[in-house]
Amino acid sequence: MINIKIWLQGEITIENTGWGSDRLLNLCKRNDISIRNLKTIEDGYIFTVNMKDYKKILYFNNKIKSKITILNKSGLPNFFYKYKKRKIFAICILLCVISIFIFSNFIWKVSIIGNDIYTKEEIIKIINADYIPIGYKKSKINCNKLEKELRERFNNIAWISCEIRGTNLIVHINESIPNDKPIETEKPCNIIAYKDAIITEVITNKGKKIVSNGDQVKKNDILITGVVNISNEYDELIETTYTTAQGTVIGIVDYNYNDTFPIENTKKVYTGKTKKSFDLNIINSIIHIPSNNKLKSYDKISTTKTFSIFENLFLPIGYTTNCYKEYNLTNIKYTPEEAYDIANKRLLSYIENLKKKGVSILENNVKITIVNDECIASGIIKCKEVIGIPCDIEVTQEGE
Amino acid sequence: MTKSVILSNNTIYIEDYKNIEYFDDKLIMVCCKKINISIEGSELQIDSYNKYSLKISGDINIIKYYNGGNVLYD
Repeated sequence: MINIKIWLQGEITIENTGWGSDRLLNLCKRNDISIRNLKTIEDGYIFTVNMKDYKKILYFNNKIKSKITILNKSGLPNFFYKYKKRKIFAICILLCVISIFIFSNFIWKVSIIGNDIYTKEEIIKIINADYIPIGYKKSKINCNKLEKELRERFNNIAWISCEIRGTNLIVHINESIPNDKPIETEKPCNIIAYKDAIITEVITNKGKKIVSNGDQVKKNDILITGVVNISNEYDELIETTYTTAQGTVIGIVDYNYNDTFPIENTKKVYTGKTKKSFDLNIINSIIHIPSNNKLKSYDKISTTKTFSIFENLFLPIGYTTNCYKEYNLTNIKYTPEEAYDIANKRLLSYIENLKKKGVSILENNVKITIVNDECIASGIIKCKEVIGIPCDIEVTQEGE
Repeated sequence: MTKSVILSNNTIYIEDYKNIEYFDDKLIMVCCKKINISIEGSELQIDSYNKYSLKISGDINIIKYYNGGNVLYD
């Protein structure tokens, strides 16, 4: 096992031969020079000393005149001596390490997990513009406050939680609450409605039920309270305690469905030609690398990759690959049957997405009509789903 | 006062000694203040050697403690 202290000071292995080699050892001992790994050889000794003691040994040997041969040098001083012509390299390595250390204190990537209604790019754009821009200091981010602000901003999302891992801000989204995995928290909280609904079932595990079956509730109404008031026999309030309300509240929710598209439309027909270009992203700047793109009409698909050292330690450097797909526009006019078919497919896709989130469809009152060269699908879809989410109770302490 | 400790992995550690009388890979004789120590074996080497302590390792067969010309114990 390497002794760190000795390695930092450096050590040197010497072969001492000739007349007087015994005397040299005695002189080392008398002058408090520590010797290690002392071995005898045919006409002398081999031993190891600290680099700082070597000069003293040379001084003693001037009197003794025995032969000293250096067999090996090791340790940090020897390392620096060996690479003394590589100063710039060493400085660059040091600058890299310092840069990584400094950059690891900022957020360089925002990741979204669990989104469906909103696209990742949409959510990231809103977060970067209004809440946490890229390059924001990690110590200034309050995840609890950010979660509250995002829940107020995105109405259709049941639950949002944020965490910071390395230089990555990860936003977990639950667009609906699954029946078998209710959202749990350890802090004192109420269960509130995250949508307007009519209550059909209330199962209370902890806390006090406020609503009953058949009640109509609005968004943010308290369904199960975690505030427990303790009264005496005269109904006077003695004490208020706060607990984590737990339970499942199921209700009927109305989803307003609206989808419109024109009968006469232009359709993209892809020619198969593609071009690529690259951009460099350094901190918040984008450097475009010129490319020869002569396509007239195209779809641009950009994929950004940010460099990272470990899974969540992203650096403020990356690149974007832009792929251009050429298309030609052709005019098309749907027949009423074709338009109805397209509107119906879109509606079924929407319903399938709702079902994937654990929502039960009770009624589908969407009607598809063609009015003034437009195909309109609108109506209400009645669904049954879990509507209760935990909401932290702000406990205010009153002075005596 | 001279102190010698025999460690488990064929190593002997001696504190507060005067000097080394003789040293080769089969025999080491250490002169201490009141007694002398003789270590016999093979592939003997001195792991550390300074003013206050001495650590000897190798294939140690016999350790003898002398007082003058008399063997005290071995």
